Amino acid sequence: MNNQSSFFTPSVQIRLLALAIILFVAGFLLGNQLSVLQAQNSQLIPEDAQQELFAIYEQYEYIKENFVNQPVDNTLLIDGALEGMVNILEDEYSGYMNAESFASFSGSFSGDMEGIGAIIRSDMELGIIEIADVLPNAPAEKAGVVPGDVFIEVDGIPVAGMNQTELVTIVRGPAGTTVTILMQRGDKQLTFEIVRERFEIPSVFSEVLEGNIGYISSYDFNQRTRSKIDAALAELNVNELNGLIIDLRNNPGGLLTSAIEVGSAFIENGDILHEVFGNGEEITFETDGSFANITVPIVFLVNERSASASELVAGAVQDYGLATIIGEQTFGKGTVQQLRTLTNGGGVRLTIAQWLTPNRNSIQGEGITPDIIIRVDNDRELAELGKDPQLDAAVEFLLSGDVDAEAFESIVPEITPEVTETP
Amino acid sequence: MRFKRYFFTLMMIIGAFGIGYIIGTHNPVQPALAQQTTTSDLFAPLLEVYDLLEAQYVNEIDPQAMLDGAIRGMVEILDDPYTNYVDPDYFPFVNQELSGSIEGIGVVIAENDAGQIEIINVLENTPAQRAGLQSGDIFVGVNGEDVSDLTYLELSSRVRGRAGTTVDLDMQRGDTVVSFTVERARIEIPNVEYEVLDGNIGYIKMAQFSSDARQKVDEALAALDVESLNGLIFDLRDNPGGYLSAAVEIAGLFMEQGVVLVEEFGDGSQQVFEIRNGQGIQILGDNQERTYVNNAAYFGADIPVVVLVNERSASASELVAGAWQDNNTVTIMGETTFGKGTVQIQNQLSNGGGLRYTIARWLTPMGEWISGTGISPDIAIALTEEMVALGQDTQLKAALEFLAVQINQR
Repeated sequence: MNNQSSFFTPSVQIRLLALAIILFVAGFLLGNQLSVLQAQNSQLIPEDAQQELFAIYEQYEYIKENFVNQPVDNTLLIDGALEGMVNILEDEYSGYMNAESFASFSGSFSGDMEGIGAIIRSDMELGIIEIADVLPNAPAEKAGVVPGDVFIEVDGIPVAGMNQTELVTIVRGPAGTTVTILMQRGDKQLTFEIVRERFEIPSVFSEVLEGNIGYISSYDFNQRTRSKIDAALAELNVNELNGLIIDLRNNPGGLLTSAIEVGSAFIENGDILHEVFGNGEEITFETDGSFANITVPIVFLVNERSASASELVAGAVQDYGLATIIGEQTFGKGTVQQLRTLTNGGGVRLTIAQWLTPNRNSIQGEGITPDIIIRVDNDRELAELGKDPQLDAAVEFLLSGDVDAEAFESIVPEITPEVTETP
Repeated sequence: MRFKRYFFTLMMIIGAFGIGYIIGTHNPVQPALAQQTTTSDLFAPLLEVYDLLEAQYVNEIDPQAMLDGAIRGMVEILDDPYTNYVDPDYFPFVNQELSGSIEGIGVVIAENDAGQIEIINVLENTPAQRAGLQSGDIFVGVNGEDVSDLTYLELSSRVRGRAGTTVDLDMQRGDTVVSFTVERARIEIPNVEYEVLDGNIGYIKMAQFSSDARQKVDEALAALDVESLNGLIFDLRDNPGGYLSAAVEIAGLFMEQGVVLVEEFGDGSQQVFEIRNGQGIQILGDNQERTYVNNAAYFGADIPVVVLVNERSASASELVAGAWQDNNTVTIMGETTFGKGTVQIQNQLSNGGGLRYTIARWLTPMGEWISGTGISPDIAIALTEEMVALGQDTQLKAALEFLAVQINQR
């Protein structure tokens, strides 16, 4: 993440920008001397696009001076322009955030968060954003939000057409404030008033299962994830057990650095991923030498909501044959985003690269195919009943070295709708 | 709902109300001097993001498209349906309709409920009609480009063009896609229609407030020999508005004197428009007066007048209806009007595109702002879709009956 190719070093870049802006504004004030402007500005913006930049400024002045609703908030206009600029990418994972949103967004990777404690997932095909998981004891869970709830409105703002980044920025906010969310659950629409809290993201959970199998689940990949996994491994005394299950189901990813740290726990030596940038340049990330030396058989559990960093780690251990992947085809997000702070305090989240597994497979749009597929399409109902066939299959596999996948699948049979005539 | 949407779209196509206004009454708006440091700071992130996207985004980007996105984003955040950026391709065509003719193929389009752009009317004797285009055809491709995601403005800019050139269209009709090659032509937009109805009642229908609207209405009044009539119906149904100057000229038809509207700007200043001696007078904030339009003479006949409006009568239509209602000079019949009480102007930008934006609210002579509420008719008469399907114009019929009673009482 911190190895990006850049055309200028940051300080040179900022100086050039400042120069360009001053010249740009001055040029305009001196009476539309566009040719002067173009000559000075051309290092940054190609000549044929400079008139567009100029038009933004003209438009800004017109609106600021004459728009019917006065006063017009300057920063709002610029926020709008920045949003518009990033939105042309039509990339779900790229977005502009104003200063307030950016602060809460970038803070979330520290392992602490102010918000409602829900993990979201977007389904581009259906054009919806839904709850992938709720964190135990976080405000969302306490309010009764469950995985699968689909966002309709947040504080009265329709969610339709928003991307993940935009949604996250309006759901999050300072602890103590309230957010009102309208959710679709089946045929019903439910309104939740949720008071945001500051909480530590309980990113790792561990226990010993029946059959003396160690179990560690991870909700995301933040700065503390690896150290928590290490703590869990130590507490479990893992090499004294019969096997270990790493549960990455519903884990939407997180920091690339965290994924490399976690991957390095399972891979002693070698490449973890290849990052391929827009200009064709490539960076290969290797293990960081923090091998955890686990000697018992390992199963990784994944599902269709395991995305990004989860797929990165699962893909790497699969390529090396170091663990058995059990569950469902994963989400298929094979891109890397970068967060960049802007001088107005806002920030941009931008897709800067694709990543490939150590064997150079792209999982973008495809996902990781588990070694043993256990399909469940009614996991919500199963969870309510306290059943988890995928976990059961993983335990069975670790204990017997084999598993009859079909015996564990749980698929709701298709029901022919009955037609009932009204009397 | 469908009707309202279509109407809204049509209104946008036909043009924002009051565009001529700035040309006649204001000095061209000049961007004011901004404090240098502040503006630099404000604009710095734009260049930062531009540079970031250009250098780091995983896929290739068109620099022009990025800046175009910024222009649009800045306007969209104002959340005003009448404030838009008009791209350079479309800018030359944007107010063509209000000049009385366009260069194109001769169809009226609207966005349907599925977000597709659909033909809702094919004008008589136009290239579109000759080529066999039909109402209900949905635009799929224009000159080989997929247009399914375009706005009506973007689509219009691709379909329109110089007379004599051709455009290739792929239209969805039912389950099949039909291709057409259509030669564009200059198309006169019929604006004013008139006839004499039963009971010697004159009938004038005006489609929009184009720059020549008053002249065309005067021609109609002359042709109808208005002095010889027993009554007059002035039909503003489905009229989406047009120029403010045309509205003041038309307002003078049915009021000899009085306030037409009060215009209120963002800074709180007001201007009043009055009819006086056949002219439209503009009274500026400092009580300075100037002649705004010359051609605002009273129609002159001593006969009862009914003005018909409906929920698709908007903007300038509502302005004149409101002025006549407040001055109590005609009887307004029909339905509550659309409710658009704002004035837009247009400024060209140096990239060839344009900004069309809301600069003022207009108030009726009584000081009411009708946005969102519209003008309530003096006599409410509905026109149901069933009646429309049967070819029954219940509103026109009610107007004729009302006038017959009025004439009898004289």
